[in-house]
Amino acid sequence: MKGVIFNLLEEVVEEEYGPDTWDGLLQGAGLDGAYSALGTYPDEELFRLIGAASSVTGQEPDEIVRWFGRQSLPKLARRYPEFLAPHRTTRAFLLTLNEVIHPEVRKLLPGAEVPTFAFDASQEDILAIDYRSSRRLCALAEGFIQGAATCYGEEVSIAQSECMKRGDERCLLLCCFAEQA
Amino acid sequence: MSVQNAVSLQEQVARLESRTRRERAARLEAEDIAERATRRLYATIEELERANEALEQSNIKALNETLSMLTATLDATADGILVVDRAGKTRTVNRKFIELWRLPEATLSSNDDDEMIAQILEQLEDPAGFLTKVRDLQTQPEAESFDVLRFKDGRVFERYSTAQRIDDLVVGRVWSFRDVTARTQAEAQLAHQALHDPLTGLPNRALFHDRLDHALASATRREERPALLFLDLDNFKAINDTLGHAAGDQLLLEVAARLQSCLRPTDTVARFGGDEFAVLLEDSQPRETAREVAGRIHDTLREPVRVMWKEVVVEVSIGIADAHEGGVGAEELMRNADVAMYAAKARGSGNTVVFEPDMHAAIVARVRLEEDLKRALEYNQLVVHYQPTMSLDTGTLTGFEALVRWQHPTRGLVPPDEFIPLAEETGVIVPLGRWVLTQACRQAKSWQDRFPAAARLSMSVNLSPRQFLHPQLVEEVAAVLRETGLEPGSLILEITEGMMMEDADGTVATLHDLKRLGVRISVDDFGTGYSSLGYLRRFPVDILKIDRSFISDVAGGPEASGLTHAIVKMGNALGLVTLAEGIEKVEQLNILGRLGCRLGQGFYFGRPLPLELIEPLLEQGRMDTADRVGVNEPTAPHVTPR
Repeated sequence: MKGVIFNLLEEVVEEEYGPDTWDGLLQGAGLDGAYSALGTYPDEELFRLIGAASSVTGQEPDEIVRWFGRQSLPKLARRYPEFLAPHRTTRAFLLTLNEVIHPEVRKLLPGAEVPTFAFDASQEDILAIDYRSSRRLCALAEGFIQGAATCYGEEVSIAQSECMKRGDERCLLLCCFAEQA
Repeated sequence: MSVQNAVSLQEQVARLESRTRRERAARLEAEDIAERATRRLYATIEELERANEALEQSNIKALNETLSMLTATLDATADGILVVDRAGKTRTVNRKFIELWRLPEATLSSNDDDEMIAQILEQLEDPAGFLTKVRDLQTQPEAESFDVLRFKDGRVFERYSTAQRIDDLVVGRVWSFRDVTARTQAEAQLAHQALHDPLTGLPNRALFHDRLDHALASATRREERPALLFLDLDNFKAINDTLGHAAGDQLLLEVAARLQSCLRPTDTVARFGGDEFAVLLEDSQPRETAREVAGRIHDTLREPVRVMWKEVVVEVSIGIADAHEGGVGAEELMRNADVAMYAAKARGSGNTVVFEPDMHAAIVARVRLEEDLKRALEYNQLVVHYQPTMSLDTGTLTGFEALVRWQHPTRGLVPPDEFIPLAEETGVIVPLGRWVLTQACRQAKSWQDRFPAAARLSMSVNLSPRQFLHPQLVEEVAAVLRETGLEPGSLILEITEGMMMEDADGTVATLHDLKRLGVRISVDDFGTGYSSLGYLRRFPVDILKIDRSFISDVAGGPEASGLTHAIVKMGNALGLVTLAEGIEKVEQLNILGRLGCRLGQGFYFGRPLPLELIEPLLEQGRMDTADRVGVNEPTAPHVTPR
């Protein structure tokens, strides 16, 4: 996992709950927390931080991950405006993930391991996203999608008909977008 | 400040310190990452630079290789190549270009294009034309052009010129030159060969025909009309056979030269092969002019020609045809001239005949006769008749002369003067002569054996010129004598005076060879030719046969008999036996006897008869002057043929 993710997490946690909370999470997870954006760190450290947050808040880890995705995407959008700017809708933006966004991510963060999505855009109102990853971070994907929808002034309803955590082969995210009321 | 606060403060400080350590650690790691990345980047750049340099080197090497290959190719090509820029200034030339144009090194090294062009132009037959072309092309940079350059020294170049382009942009012009002199000459030679006789260099039949076509076509526009002369040498085959092909070729060359000397430059003389020549002339009075030319040709060719070590006289038969009546085609005209030439030949050596429409029939008849003659031997149509020769001293039979007759299935008996020349001309005479010789010898031997009166009789057989010149003659005579068992002394071979004079040295040699076999030699028709009696000393002959033209005059008085007298006396003085031909009257017989002539032959004694009529007489021993053979038969005035 690239250090940038840890930096983002630190940023949103400190923004919302203050630096002491982040210190607490590090302490709870037993980590020294020296993350550099370009560095690469064990995935497990992220899960430990999520786990620590879960035990403090009593929230489900996935809920925390979704929150993290939702909160951090606008920050990414600010840092890399060229990714979102060309599009008018979340759907259009998402469809460029494999061909545009992730290749760019690999350039910015050498060694980054990014998932490959498969899209089924055959239906106008629903975008079906197929996610397969050993990290099983479908929740982070959901959060990012929700965060992106916010950027475009849209609302999104996401339903997971299949999930690897439930023993399925893949996670299937069914997204339905609507303009924000 | 409370303790609790102090603790909290201490905790605060510890947290801040811990955050600072965390931040420093993250920064150090970031720096470390940055440094590693920088190093990697530097290494990558270095690697790229090295790769780039290597690539450049290999590109330069490849370019150099390509360049050297191009240069080598240019230098190896058979074409001379000149490359100029848009302004016409020389950019490069290959080695072949310098060689082809024979340009001095100085001209090239001076880079003086004007000088080079001057040197190029002065070699050309049409420098102005070439210069114009060059200037034209200067104004049309895209144009492709091709032409042929002719040099003053006879060389021929092909020139090709095309635009030089770089990425579709015309940057100059490439000129290539190829020396095609050898090819051009070969082509011209081939064209010449196709239309000319290789030996004499004269036009051949194809070219002659072509010129005749032109002459006929233009005859309608002009006053002049064409006339043809077809020529055939009369004695060429004999010369070729005796002196060989090299001599024959030499003679043909001389004839060709002499023919040309008789003609105007505008006339065409052609060789059709063998000893056939043809002349085409155009004149307002074609027939008369053709006759004059024919006369000149006869005169010119009659001057003796020296061939090898011999002097020979060439006689020619000439047929003339002219386009007198309008609308005569080339084919017909040539056929007419051919027919006229055959008619001239039929009249004997050295004649000219102008074509007449009724000649075709005569020619057809002659050709048919020729065909028939070739079969006559095979079909047993030839018979030998025998004419007696008598001793004028004793009045007894001394022998016979064998004379061939042709019993034609539809035409009856063909006279020898009609078919012997034909046989001579066609070569049939050789087998025919051998057949006659064999028949005569066999018959003589048979008569000698069977009839006491004929025990010592001789047999005379005529040899034609062609037979006499045949290389196997002596062997054949020997073979016939062996075959028939006839004693050689009984055989007399007759040759004419003319044959002896044709090739005196050769004749002497052949006669000696024949004499060595033991046969005797007789000179036929003596006195008609141009030989002198003194000349006869050279030839090993035994008998002189005085021509009948002298004998017929003998009874006309001392003046008329003077020549005969001289011949007999001279013959006797040279130790030769004289024989008088054509004795028809007893007065002739008496005078010849007084003159000292030993032998005689003629209707007075007996005409040529088939053996069926001779044998009964021999059987009865009745061959003497008292009982003249055949005298009782009606004797139409008839010249005895040879």
